[in-house]
Amino acid sequence: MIMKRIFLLPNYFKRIGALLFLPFAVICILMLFGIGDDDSIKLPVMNLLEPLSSQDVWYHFHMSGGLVEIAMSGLLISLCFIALSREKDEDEMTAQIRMNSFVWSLWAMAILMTIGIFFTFGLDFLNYALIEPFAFFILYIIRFNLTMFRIRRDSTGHKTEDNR
Amino acid sequence: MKNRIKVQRAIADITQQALAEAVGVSRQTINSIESGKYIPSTLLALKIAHHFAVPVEELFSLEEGE
Repeated sequence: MIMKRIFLLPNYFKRIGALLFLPFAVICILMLFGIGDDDSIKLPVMNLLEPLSSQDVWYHFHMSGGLVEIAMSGLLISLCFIALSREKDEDEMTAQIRMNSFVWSLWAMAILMTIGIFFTFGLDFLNYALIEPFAFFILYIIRFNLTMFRIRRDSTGHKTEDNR
Repeated sequence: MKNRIKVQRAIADITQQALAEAVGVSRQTINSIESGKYIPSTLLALKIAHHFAVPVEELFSLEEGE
């Protein structure tokens, strides 16, 4: 039953994601505006892309400031936990709302990216492009949860009369 | 698509919650189907029809122009 397989985490990951999101988001925003020192944490990293253009080796190791890497990966993990965990009452309608929210977010990102292509340049464009994947998750989470909220609110209104 | 789930529920005297539990979905889903906001899958439509022991065409019907 391949069609029935849904790659979602258990519901409690949503709560863990929400707890992780705030600190990592704050660090990322601070780093984006140049506040905070990336070198405050040093990490050994494997650099893949740089040697491709210059040396005859395709990777090398070196020490690098690691605060940005930790904050960005932490933010991505927290967003994955929030976006990709099951609802308590997950069913086929929830799956359809997920799909609709996903498509809506893709359109929104395409529009935002087009605006970025035409109106931001140089390093600003790179920063803008770096934010896009995170913005996709955030837009998806907002859209999905707003729709779920509306459906739950509407059905609560009917609850009394229908439960008799 | 029109449906007669609310009528069938009244005949069977069961709540949205009871029907939702019987067919394995949330109460919100049953509510959305009844109000025409959500069209169920074939599987869910068959499960609901089976629960009320009626043919699926008796529960769901196409509207003019569909």
